[in-house]
Amino acid sequence: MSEEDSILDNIEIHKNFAIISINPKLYPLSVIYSAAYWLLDRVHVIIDGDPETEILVEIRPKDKKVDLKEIGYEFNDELINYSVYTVQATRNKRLREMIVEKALMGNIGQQPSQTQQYINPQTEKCDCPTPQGKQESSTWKPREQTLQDEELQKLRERIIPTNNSDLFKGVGDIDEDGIANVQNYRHKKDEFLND
Amino acid sequence: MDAIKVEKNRCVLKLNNDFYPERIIKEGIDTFQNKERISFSEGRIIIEKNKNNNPEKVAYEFCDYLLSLIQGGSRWH
Repeated sequence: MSEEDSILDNIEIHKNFAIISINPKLYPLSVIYSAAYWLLDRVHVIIDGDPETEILVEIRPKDKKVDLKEIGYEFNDELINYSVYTVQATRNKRLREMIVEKALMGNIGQQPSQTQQYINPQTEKCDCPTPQGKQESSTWKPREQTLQDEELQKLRERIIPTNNSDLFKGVGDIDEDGIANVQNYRHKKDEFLND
Repeated sequence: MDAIKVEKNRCVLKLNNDFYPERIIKEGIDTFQNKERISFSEGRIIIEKNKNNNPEKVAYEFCDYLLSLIQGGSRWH
């Protein structure tokens, strides 16, 4: 090769390109593809050769600033990097499959929750037992059940929480103004600080 | 390596079928045909000179694209 500048291990460096030779018995083709793909942002890549004996990878820089020698060594590093990744991925394959299986079975294979058990799949109505006894699916529909006064009161308390001042009403030695200020502090922090 | 041959008004690309399957080459040509005058016959890819583009440069970009298609099809990461 007349225009060949130098040979560094498995890298032939020419004027405008370099050829890297790879032993396919050491590195599988998938690893070579991955390493070549890694360099695509800096060099053009063409793969040639014999897949049984010697694979040749031609790299041609996209930018003149690219150092072919450096890229060649980086390619060798990436071959090792992807080989290790492939070996580890093969070793851990069964473990990864088991984790995914377990995660999927958590949703698919588990028993229905207590609430789901009461839903009649044919009518999609709730057969949930109540203090008054089991509701009739044919007559009862969600949101149609009337609430007792006591239950309504509990619901209101949830929506409108009891004020701190009401909570301590009638209890001695309680600074009711202070409690009110603390409540206001949540909503009017700036005014409270200025005072 | 003589995968790319530059002629007067065109560039002829002969890729090794062991590394670039025909299915991938055809897929690449389908994509490049929108902008370039590119054809595939008897295992050779011919890129005709265009008004704006250098066919040799298009050939190298085509090879890069094929590599990305190979990687995209066989691996998920």
